Amino acid sequence: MKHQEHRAAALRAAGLAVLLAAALAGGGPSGVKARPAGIRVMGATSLAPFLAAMATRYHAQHPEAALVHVAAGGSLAGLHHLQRGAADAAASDIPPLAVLGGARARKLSGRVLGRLPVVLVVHRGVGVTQVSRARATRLLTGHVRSWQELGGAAENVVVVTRALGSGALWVVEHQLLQGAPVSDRAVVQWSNGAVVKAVAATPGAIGFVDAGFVRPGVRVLGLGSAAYQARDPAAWPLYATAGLYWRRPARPALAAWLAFLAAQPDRARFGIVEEGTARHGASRSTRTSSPSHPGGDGGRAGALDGGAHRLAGGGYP
Amino acid sequence: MLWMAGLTGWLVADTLRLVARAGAAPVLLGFHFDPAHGRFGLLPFVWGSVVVGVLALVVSVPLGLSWAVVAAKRLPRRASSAMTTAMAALVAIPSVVWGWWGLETVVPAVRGALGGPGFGLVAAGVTVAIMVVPTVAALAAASLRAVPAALEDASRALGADEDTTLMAVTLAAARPGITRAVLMGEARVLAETMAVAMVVGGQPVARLQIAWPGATLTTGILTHLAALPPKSPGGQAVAAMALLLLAATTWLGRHLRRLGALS
Repeated sequence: MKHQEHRAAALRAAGLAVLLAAALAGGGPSGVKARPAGIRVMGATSLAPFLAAMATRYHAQHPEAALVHVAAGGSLAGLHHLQRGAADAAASDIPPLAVLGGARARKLSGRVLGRLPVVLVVHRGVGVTQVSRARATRLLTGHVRSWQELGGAAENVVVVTRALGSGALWVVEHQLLQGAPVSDRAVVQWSNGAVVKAVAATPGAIGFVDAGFVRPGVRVLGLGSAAYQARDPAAWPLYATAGLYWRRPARPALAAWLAFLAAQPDRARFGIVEEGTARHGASRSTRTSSPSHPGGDGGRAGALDGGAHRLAGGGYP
Repeated sequence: MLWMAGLTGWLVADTLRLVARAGAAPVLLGFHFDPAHGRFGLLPFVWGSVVVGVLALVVSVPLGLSWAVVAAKRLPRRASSAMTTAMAALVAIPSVVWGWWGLETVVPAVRGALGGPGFGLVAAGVTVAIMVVPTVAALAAASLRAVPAALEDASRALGADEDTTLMAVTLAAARPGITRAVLMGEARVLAETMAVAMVVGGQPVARLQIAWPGATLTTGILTHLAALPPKSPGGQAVAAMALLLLAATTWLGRHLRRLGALS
């Protein structure tokens, strides 16, 4: 009797061991192809909603394909993770050359996803609706202390900015402030949403966010002669060029995901303005004249549709 | 232990590399931390941590101690028990909730009282001070309850009134435990990240105007860890922040152990 119990226990243990070995080996019913290793995409918070939606769609349409895992964390973090091999692709609205330097950036390929307009937002009570570029620069660098100096309300100016690694901050510092830093008295916030919330709650506040994150409670400030219109975002002069980057050569699973991404047309729904819809060719060439972004030299409209290419030239400011 | 030694060795090595590259004075005494422009001053984070720590101490100790005395020595047994339960519940509230509360309550209050944006070291100090009051109160109340009743009875028998007994006998006897409670609260303040990060303003500049945005060692690590890669000067600066934080918490831990032995 005791011998039979031992035998049954041994059989159960053997069965469990076989099941465990099969699970560890990733084994399944014969004839079913194993799913390729997942694709890790990391980077710009502003691009995360688009990439996450595309990942879901990709899984739905291609259940056998590699799973795409999207993580936000900022453009800088995405590029650094890509460079260290901790991510397969990086979503960034900062040119890789500005982050990684020439030698490392040249090992990457990239595709433009489109433009992300960056707008200035102010508290509703500041009494100013339009500023020139020069005045915007003086506001953000802390040289204008009161809105009264610009004909507005008797409120002190409170600048709200983003933390290091934000694409919106990079755009403002390089396209608007010409390399000058934002005021060192500014309130630093982690996300577009936090900037909007802080500006809405703080009298006299001014900040900047990706246009897709503008919410009621703040006012978008006109810049120069331009006024931001959601119906025509391509006319807005201040924007980041959003791209997806990867190390060469792209493994087949990543290449398949990139090809799928290129075929998806509805980027505008996520606040991404496709390069092909931009109407201001001259301004585009001046504002993205850095050769560090794919397509940033103004010669390539909708690079996502036009395929990948290598990064070249440029340098860290 | 080996893991701790390895971590410390790694942090020390990275810090020394940064000092060798940028110089000891600019790193230790620099007023600005701006890696994009080659400035790696750690003073803003040290200053921010000290200011927030002192503010938290000034606000939380009187409040926590008062609460502990009321709960342990003045209220009837049933009410005291209810108050202890409330303390435990408040200790368990996640710091992100306290940060949210600070954002909605303390920041506007500081803005109204002191001007400026409201976000800053004062807002951070007040938020974490209120956050650690239950911790200080719960530990101090336990120490007060542990004082032998015979000591207090002897004091009363000698003609001392309740207040004199409290000040001269009960609090004196419970002093090691109360100090431990304060140090535990301070350790929590020093290590707090999320609640501070939500209200401190995140500006890595050392300035005397503490109502304006600043940064602490924990928020500095949180903000820059992802953005600055390891082995870069920025990454080494993050390691230096972690080393400073480790040194401060180790120092507090040693004092706590010593007090633990005393009590």
